[in-house]
Amino acid sequence: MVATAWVEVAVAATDRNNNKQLGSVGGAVLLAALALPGLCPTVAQAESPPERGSVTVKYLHYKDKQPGFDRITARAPSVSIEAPIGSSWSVSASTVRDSVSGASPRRYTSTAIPSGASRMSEERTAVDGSVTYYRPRSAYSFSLSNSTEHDYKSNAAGVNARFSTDDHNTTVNVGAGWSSDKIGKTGDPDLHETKHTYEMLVGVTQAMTRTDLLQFNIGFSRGAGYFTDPYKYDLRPEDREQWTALLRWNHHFESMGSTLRTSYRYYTDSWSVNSHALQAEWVQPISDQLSLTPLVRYYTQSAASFYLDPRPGTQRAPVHSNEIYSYDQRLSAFGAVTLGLRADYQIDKDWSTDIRGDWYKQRSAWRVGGKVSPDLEPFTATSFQLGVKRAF
Amino acid sequence: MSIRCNACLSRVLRWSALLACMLTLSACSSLYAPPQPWEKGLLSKPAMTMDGDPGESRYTQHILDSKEGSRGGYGVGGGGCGCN
Repeated sequence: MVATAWVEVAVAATDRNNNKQLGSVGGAVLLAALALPGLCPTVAQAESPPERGSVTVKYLHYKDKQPGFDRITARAPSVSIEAPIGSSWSVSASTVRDSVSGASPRRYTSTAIPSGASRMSEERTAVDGSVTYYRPRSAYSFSLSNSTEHDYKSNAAGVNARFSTDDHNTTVNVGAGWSSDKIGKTGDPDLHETKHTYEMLVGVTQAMTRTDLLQFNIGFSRGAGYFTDPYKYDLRPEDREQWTALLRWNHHFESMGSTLRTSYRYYTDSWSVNSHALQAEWVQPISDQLSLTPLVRYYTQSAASFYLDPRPGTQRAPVHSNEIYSYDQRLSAFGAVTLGLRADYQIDKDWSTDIRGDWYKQRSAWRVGGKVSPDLEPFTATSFQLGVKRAF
Repeated sequence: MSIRCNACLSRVLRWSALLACMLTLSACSSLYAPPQPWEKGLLSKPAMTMDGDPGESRYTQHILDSKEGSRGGYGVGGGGCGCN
């Protein structure tokens, strides 16, 4: 499938008078601008639907721990499908079922904080679907998603529109989304809370050179309702406004056939959490069928304004008289590093498979750029993903 | 749409302005040579797509969103979960 697309592209490159072929090649930038996860066909024809449909089965195994304790284990099989419909439409759908069990990681000694279910076992099912309509220099999509678990239900919708210039070197992308969540608590039948969120994304993707693609997105999200974690000892604001600025740069090295993919995201919100995430991946073909992609990511965040550090010299919670507070280590100041490796293997023209392993570690001391929360227990997570894809 | 967090907006705009300056500088150099239609073959390689493998992104973003204090920036329309 990939080899066929290459032949078409090579023909287009030498046939300047064939407008349809040129349109297909120019659509590469429109394709790269796709900002809606789940809508990224592997063949570069964005002003028309993907050439071939596909079914993909994937499996995720995840485990995290802190010194001396195993924490969460999660297993998540998923199935996804995408298919062209005629020459102007495509649809996609996916479903995933998470099985999560264990105890949430703690930065504080367990006797210091009263809490609800510290050991838990949860199943979550999520479904999402989308439909896209293609025109010569634009594409429009609509998506719906649902996530259901025993104590949390979320329904969301999104719309997205992409417009490219005549030469297809510049594409502007605009998206909006809405989400409505219902929150409960195991063991407390009186807890019925809701949260509503709306979000927007504006971005531009530019072909800088024949081997460079650059994308810049600004995102905004506003949520109102219940943000508190009912299983942790905390009480959070009823409002959260989040902003992101994302820059992504893909560079292809012609002589080696490899690609360097880098991204930087700045995040800031009304809880005073600010973060920087910097990531680089190197896609290296090893043979016609096999490629390897090592990955490294560095992340640093500041603490939420209402996060409480433990009492000095201890890992025990401070006494507080605040109305809004949290001991959740995810809202503390820390740095984190991810090291990953992915292998992609094209079995034949219809079948391909991929496998990826990640190692992730969070430490307060790894934070850069500001005040560091006292060095609480570090947190380590490992995961692997396995995928099999069949194009049809 | 009303913006409550003006500090957030000014921080994002400051970082965006910094990035825009860097891009403008690079645009004045050989880093900016938009390809002609017949030169775009390399841009259509699967490794050059911005979002990559959607199934992988779904898993990875879900894990990071549930272990870190920030999320988003890549797309719209996904819902939430009670993830710990």
